[in-house]
Amino acid sequence: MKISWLPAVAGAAVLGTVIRAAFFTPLEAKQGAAQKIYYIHVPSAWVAFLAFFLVAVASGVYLWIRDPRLDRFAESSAEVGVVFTTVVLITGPLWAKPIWGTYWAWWDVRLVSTLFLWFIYVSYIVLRGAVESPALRARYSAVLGILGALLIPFIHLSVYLFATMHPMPIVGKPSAPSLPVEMLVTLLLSLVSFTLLYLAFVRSRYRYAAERDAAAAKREYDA
Amino acid sequence: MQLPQKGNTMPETSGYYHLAYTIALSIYAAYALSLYLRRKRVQAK
Repeated sequence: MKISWLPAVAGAAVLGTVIRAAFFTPLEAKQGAAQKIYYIHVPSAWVAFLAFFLVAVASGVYLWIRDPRLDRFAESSAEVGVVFTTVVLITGPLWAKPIWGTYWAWWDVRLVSTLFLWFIYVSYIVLRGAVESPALRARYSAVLGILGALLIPFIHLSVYLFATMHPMPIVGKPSAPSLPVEMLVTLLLSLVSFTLLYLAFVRSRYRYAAERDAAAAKREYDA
Repeated sequence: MQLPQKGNTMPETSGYYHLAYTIALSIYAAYALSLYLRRKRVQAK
């Protein structure tokens, strides 16, 4: 059996991250073990934002040059982004409960706008399934893919603009990261490994879409 | 975030940590499996 190198490397990197987080990264003083959720919550959020940003870029270029490969990439990246956002929306509340005392707060702009982002890209997937014409489907979903990504800067800035329970960035900020070096190394490793996982997922999803479209074209030709 | 100091007590929150990792890794594994099965189905056609 042929093993593709990218999924194997991505899987090994994620496994390495989990092992490092569990056994080689110290507990945080005030939160205890729950703080380790950080090493899957933050990289999943980073990948979700990256995925939706790339959906918008591919969709914008698609509307310009109408290359179906860009539509296929946008479709793949959107689906993978939804998977990562689902993990963000599950691990966030599981971290929040022991620290904030509640799983969710409907008044919190960071939490609710992230949920909206998830709904937008779930709608994107539903829309793709509902439109039969490939050209129309690609055009409608490209517009939605671009509009959805406009939420990303708003979500990032929401902790500065509104009163929220969600903490401000402790690494991605203008001043030095306020994180002990052992934790910072684990976080950086997790960002790399989850980005590799994104690439492996998108490549596999793109190949599936290409094979599906080729089979559909062949069926049409035969008929 | 801070490292613990000697003698400090920390809250027992490992249940949430284990649950979060189990769910997240299960979702990623299930998605990888769904991609594999969808590709196999298309190739079989």
